[in-house]
Amino acid sequence: MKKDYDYLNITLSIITISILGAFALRPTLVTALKMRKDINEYEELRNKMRNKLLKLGEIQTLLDKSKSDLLLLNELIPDYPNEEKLLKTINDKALLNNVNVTSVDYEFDKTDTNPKSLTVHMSANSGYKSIIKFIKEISSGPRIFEITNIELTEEKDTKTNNYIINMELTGKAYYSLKNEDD
Amino acid sequence: MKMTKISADIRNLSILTLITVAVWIGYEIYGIYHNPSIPEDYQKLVQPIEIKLDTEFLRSLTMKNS
Repeated sequence: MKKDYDYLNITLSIITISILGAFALRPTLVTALKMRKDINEYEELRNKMRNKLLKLGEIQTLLDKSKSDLLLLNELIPDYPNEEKLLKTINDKALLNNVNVTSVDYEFDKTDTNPKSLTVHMSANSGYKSIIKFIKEISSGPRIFEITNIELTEEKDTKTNNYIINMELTGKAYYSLKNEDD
Repeated sequence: MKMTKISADIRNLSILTLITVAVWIGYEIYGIYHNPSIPEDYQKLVQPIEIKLDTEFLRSLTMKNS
């Protein structure tokens, strides 16, 4: 009888502990631990955000300092083909040096490389010195223009009796397409 | 004798219930520490950024073109 009474006591105690554990201890413990974890994680997040803000400030300062350099870089290698401006520059320089441009043709880069190139084929004629000056000027900027091939042939002008140089030129200008992530 | 048998069964059942509750609490605590509470969007926002601007190169370009 005494044994039964003891068993009953133990059983009731265990049941009480179970009920308390399930409906009082568990929610309290879970809430407390979750809040503690949230506080730590958000504290860490705040520190990371603060560091990132500082870094963004540094980047802004650096960008402000390098603005003129970046504008120049954008002129040397623009972020779109801008073939109209390139052809206008070539034409202006040809006019300035008395070079007669007879044909200009251009083609876009179809590969996936970056920076991409814009290939220009050009035929022109003029006196030797004018041709040389023209070549120097178009290859010296402002936009990067890499001359990949030049063919020069001499021809006598029957009207003036002077020698003229016929030039076939192939060159590449570059442009850099911006990535979505930039 | 029969009464003792029933009492023992109830006691065993209550011990199993206590173990179940303990496992339940343990599982929830495990869940708290192994699931991130900060949304993934926030995590993306705080990804570190690096400054990669070759200022020396830019300066040399400016010098060359000036």
